[in-house]
This record gives sequence, C-alpha cells and structure tokens, in this order.
Amino acid sequence: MNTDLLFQGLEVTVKGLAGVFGALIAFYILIIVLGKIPVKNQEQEN
Amino acid sequence: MVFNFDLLIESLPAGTTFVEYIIKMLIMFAIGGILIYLAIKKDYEPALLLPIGFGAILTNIPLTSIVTNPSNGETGIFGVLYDATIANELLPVLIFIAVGAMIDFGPLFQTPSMIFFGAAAQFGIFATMMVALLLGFSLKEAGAIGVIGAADGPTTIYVGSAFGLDKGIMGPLTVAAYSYMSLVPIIQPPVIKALTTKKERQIRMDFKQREVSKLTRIIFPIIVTVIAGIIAPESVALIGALMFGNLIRECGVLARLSETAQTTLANLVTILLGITIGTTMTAQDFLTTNTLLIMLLGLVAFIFDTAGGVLFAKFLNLFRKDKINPMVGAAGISAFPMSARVIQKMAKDEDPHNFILMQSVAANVSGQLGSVVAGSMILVLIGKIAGL
Repeated sequence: MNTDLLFQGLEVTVKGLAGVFGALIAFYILIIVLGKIPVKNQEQEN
Repeated sequence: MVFNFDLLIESLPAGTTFVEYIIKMLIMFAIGGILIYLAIKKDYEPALLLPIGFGAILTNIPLTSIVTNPSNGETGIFGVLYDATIANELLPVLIFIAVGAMIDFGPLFQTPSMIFFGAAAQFGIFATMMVALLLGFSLKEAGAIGVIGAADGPTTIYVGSAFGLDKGIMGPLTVAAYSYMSLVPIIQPPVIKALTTKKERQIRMDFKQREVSKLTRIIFPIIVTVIAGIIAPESVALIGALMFGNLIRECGVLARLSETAQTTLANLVTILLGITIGTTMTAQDFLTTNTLLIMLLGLVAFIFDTAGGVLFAKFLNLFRKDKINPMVGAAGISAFPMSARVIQKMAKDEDPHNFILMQSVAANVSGQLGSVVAGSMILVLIGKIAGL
C-alpha cells in the first residue's frame, strides 16, 4: 500500500471538504443578503 | 464488404482466443440488452441507459468500424465524436446549461439554511476516493470514481475527461453514475432508515412562504459564478454553464432560449452523450475487475453521501431548538428532483400529514451546487498534486 498516496488522498479530502463548505457558506451569505432586496409591487401583481 | 474472418482473427486483442472473444462479445451484448431493458421496462434513466446500452452493442459487433476501423486503423464516426465532444469535456458542459435552465432556486431562497446539506452530502465523494485509493486505483482515477457519489453524471464525465482517464475507466464510470442515479429510490431509503429513528423521521418542519424578488433571482447566478470561480477556477466551465442556463431561465426576456435549453439542447446532448459513452464499452475495456470495483465503489459513494447528509442533520439537531428532519440531509445529493421526492414520500409514509418537500427540494438544488464545487475541488487539488 502506498502511504504517500493515502496522505495525498487525505489532503484532498480535508481541503476538498473545506472548499465545498467554504463555497456553500459564501452562497448562504449571498442568499441572505440578496433576500433583503424588496419585492416590487409590480412583481407581486405579476 | 463481406465479413472477413481472417481480419477478425488478426484483430483479436493480444492473448485472447477466438472462443474467449465470442464469449466476451456475447456478455457485452447481454449487458447492452440489460441496460436497454432497464431503460424501457423499469424506466431507469431511459434517456441515457438506452443509448448507452445500444452503444455497447454497436461497439462489440465484430470488425465494427464505428470507433476505429480494424483494417486500416482510421478513426470511425463515434471515435471522432468521442474526441470532439467528451474527451474535451464539451458535452458535459453543454448539458449543464440545460440543467441550469431547469433548476428553480426558489425553495432555496425560502429556506437558505438547507444549503449546508448540499455540502455535507458530498462527504461520500471524498470517503469513496479514499476507499478507491486503498483498492489500488491511482489518485486521478480514485478522484473521478468518488465523484460518482455526487449523483451527478455530467460532473463525473467532466472530471474523468479532464484527468484524461482512458476509455476503460470512462465507460464504467458513466454507467455507474447514471445507473445509480436512477436507483436513488432503492439505495437511499434503507440507508436513511438505518441511521434514523421513527421519531426523527416524523419531525415536522415549518416552512414560511415568502416572495423572492426578480432581481435576486438574476443576481444570484452571476455572483455564484464569480465566487465559485475565485474559490476554484477550474469550476468556472461547469458552474458557469449551470448558472448561465439559470440566468436564461430567470431573466424573463429569453423564454425561447430557456425552453430550447431545457428541451432541445438537453435532448440533443443526451442522445450524443449516451451513445458515444456506450461505444467506449468494448469487451476488452469493460470486462475487467476495475469495472466491477468501480460499480461497487459507485454504490459505496451513494451510501456515504446519503449517510453524510443524514448524520450532519442529526449533528445540527444537537444545537438547534427547531429540529430538522434528518431525512432532509439525504436530499443534499445532486439527483434532482428524485432525491427530494424520495424524502417526501418517506416522510409521508411515517406521518401522512408531514410535508417537507420544499426543504428537501432546497437541499436537493444545493446538492447540485455542492457537487459541482466538489468535482471542481477534486480537479484543482488532484490536478495540483499530479502536476496537471
């Protein structure tokens, strides 16, 4: 078994999951901020 | 040209006898037939499994020249199509425009916290990658195999193509990604039931309907593309295509383009993608131990992803006053909208008056985002290690 390869896999796992959570946390903040944009009356009528 | 028996004997793969060749050919015909049967009779992802099944039969006809002409070595029509549409990642990217045009992020705007399940349910990708490494696959192969767990066929093909994996890996990868996607209603429920109590599955969740402005829906895909591009530049092709499709849908002035992306473009790409991938399934490349392992690992990936979402919801419940139904976490995979429907059905089975469809759909569309980002992280990180 190639230990170096496993460590590389672990590195990809840790950084990869951190990246996924980081990106989705950024999207979450974006949704919260964009959610503050008021809906125009005209849109509501539509 | 009449059948040239001498040429057939000459073109047998090294170390393969004529009888072995015929047996393998018949097995591949049977596999193609099974895929076609599953598509027609069981309605399992018919738009993909039928073309893949037919392609598998086509490519295993003796002396066929659809991929490579055995008499002169010239590339055949499906060889040209593979090089021009899959090896360069064109079709997976194009299909993302169609997918983007189909996605309504509305439920996610209503319940933004569900987005975290789109991240947690990507756990299976990385866990499966580690298992694949333990089984002896290379880092690039293991990464692409893990992405099967994203329940996202185009991302799987995109990552595999970007890594330049050979057709012997690409065929099983694609078949695993699409066949398990269609088996979500069979794979997810037992995993969810094993990890939750009846009481947990009966948890009801409030849903407050509120209006989302058109401006929000327009800005969202643009900024998401920019953020994802900054975090993982390799994701721009995939997430950019996804969000471009969504922008076409939400802008309100391109109804015809949106309609075309959702129907004509999706159908055309699906036809070409399915049959071209099918023609990579030659007996020589497909009937290997690797194929069996990849199919098995694909199943493992789906199980890990489902478990990741459910366990993350249970973890959050330790700190929350308003409890989350942990089944919603399982909808964080990218199989949209199938997974959300499965979760709602399970909730209804436990409590006929429980309605968690909107939260499940929100988690499910988050899974679409999460899987693309996860696939891109695999590309970036493994690409860096492998010096791509």
